[in-house]
Amino acid sequence: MDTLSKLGILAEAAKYDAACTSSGVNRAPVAGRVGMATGAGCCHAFTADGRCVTLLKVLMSNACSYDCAYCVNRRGNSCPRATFAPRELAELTLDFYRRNYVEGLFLSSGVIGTPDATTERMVECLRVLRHELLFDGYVHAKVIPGTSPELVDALGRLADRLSVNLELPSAASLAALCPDKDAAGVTRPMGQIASSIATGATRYLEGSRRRGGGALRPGPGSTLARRGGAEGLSRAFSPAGQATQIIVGASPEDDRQVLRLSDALYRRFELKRVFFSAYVPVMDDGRLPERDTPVPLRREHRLYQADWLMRFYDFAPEELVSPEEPWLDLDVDPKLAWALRHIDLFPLEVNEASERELLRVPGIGPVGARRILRARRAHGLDFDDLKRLRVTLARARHFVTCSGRSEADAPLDGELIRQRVVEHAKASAYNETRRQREGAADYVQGSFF
Amino acid sequence: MLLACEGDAEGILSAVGIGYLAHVAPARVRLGRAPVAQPCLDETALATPADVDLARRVLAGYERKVARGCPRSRGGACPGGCAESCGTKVLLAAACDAREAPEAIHRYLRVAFREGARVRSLGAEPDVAPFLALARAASNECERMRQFVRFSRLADGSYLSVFSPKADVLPFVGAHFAMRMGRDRFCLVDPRHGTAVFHQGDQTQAVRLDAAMAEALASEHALADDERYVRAMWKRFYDGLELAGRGAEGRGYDLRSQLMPKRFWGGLVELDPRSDDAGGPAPRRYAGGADEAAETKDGTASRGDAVPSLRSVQEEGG
Ligand code: SF4
Ligand code: SF4
Repeated sequence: MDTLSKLGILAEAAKYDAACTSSGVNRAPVAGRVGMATGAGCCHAFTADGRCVTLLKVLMSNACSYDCAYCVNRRGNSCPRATFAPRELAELTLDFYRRNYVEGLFLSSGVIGTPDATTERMVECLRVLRHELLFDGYVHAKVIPGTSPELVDALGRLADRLSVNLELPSAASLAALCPDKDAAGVTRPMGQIASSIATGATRYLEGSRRRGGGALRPGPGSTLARRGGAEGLSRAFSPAGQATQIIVGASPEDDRQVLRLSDALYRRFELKRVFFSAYVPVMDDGRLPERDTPVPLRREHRLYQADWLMRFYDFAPEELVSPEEPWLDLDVDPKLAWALRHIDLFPLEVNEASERELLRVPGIGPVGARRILRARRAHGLDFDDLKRLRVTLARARHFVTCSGRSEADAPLDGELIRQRVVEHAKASAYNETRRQREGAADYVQGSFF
Repeated sequence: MLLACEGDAEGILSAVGIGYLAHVAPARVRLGRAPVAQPCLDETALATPADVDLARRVLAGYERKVARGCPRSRGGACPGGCAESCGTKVLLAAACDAREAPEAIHRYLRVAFREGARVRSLGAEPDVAPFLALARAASNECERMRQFVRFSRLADGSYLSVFSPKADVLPFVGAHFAMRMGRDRFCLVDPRHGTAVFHQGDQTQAVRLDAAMAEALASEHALADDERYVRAMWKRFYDGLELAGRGAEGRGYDLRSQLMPKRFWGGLVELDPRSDDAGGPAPRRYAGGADEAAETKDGTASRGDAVPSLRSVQEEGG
């Protein structure tokens, strides 16, 4: 089978994976090699539904020996199968990179016999890419649960980021839907990766003390970045950290369980990202939700918003969901939902509020907060100033005052704010269409068991 | 008084310098882009030719002024740690095609010369906000280029891309592509603004093109033998990512067009139906065969193929 035909099969098989980011590592170009990595990443294309394409995200093989209930590649499913040769995939990556189609490779795979056999093939692909084709662009590699530690180590020294997919939000669901996997097989490599990254950082710090200081972040020209060059197994271990993915809606866990789990993962394994993937019902299986009860995309969206608040706005999961209200509000975003529950903390005076307080105002993000802090040094701000600073006022104006004044038509009335936001959202073409498609006035959580 | 200047950075900064040297009250001077700018009834118009030396002096004077007292600068000099330095912002704003760009830059520079480093906290001022908006727009256009430039491999082994951004930002992104491409030779052409970046070895150069040269570079070139096949693979990959029911019809609005504006679609290989044609048989490295043994009859792969053991990888890697 030629590569064009394989690509059709193996890209299709990888499309349900949510992660496609190349951020997190800066690597300056090295003479004689091809490519570099920039911490901010770059989206080179967008799919019809608006997902960013930044990496060549494919499976090494979809000929999987495992039988996860929700997966199109499960061994029990009848579908066309293909497997890349390691060099073929390495060449393909470089051809795409040189044409500015991608920032690098996202390498994942179905289980070809055993996790170790599969990982050896992945390691060989990355070895060709790094050592023979001299590629210094971004590589994200997926660790298959159950892979032996030496192979996880080899993969981590060739890739910029590793991820081990947690897949389901509880051990019970994993056992029910993925009979060939177990929770320990997932958390063991996560622990190994976290400790290898920490060891590398400690060594680097010790080295930099001897050299007289230096940045821990592998910026251009730093030791970590230079070590990421041609020295093979001595390069930094997974310098862009590790990530994981959780499928939501294929099993019965609520948002509170999902958010508490992701918070624990960030803390315990120092993950860079937890990706959420709304379950797409493609398989008929008695253990799965009915095929005609799609998980609302908005649930995935709200989880990402909540995750963002936890990572960058200093929110704890308990502030966003509680035992009494374990689901995120699908009608309003989690920050607005929080503000409406704590309406007594508002309005906030824009000319006096701290950065942390400003960040809790619906509609004000880190950029807006910084602009406000900088601009108010010159003089007191009014609403026209906020508009000129391009602060998004549609929501914020209900929650702030400027020199003690509120906006006339924006009262701090929780009911009214919710009503306006919901009506505005309902009127949007997006929600109108999704409502029609999903056939209900209110979204229904996936019915399961 | 209307100072009619050339629309590029040299022209605009020269006109600012002339206005300043002539001691005309700032409120009485307006900059306009020659030849389109027209004087108002009570205005006199003066054509100001670009003077590279004067433009450099204006920019350097401005940079010194805003760096003095700036908490981020060290000893009055910019350490270069700013994502976009204050000087770069001026050049970015000058790269915008907008008719009002010269005057917005003029008004901003006047404030900056008056206020020094404090100008950074005046983002809401009517003489500063429009300038910042222009710099942001050009900066966004740079990002669009980094995202949506598509190179083709030509028969001579070099790479070519023709791209028409809304601002004259090609010189700002040349270095980015040079870093990506290493020793690969490439040419990036902007026929709309008549600029090109050439890269060979470790040399990268941005040049102005005359109309004939721009047209010649932007015209059809003989492609490398494998180019159509690689394009077809990229389109096949891109098409394979689509999730049914989540596109524009399923969503109610076209999110893709917002993120990937239609004005770029003509140059995007993945959206060009002609890319479906691979142009012939697969090049040898993509013809398959070497690893077919890895696939058994039932579709699962065996591990007995050409993958070396971990030990050999470790030995090779050191
Ligand atoms: S291991 Fe499970 S989820 Fe992964 S490809 Fe195989 S069947 Fe699918
Ligand atoms: S903010 Fe401007 S003046 Fe200050 S260091 Fe950065 S570039 Fe220099």
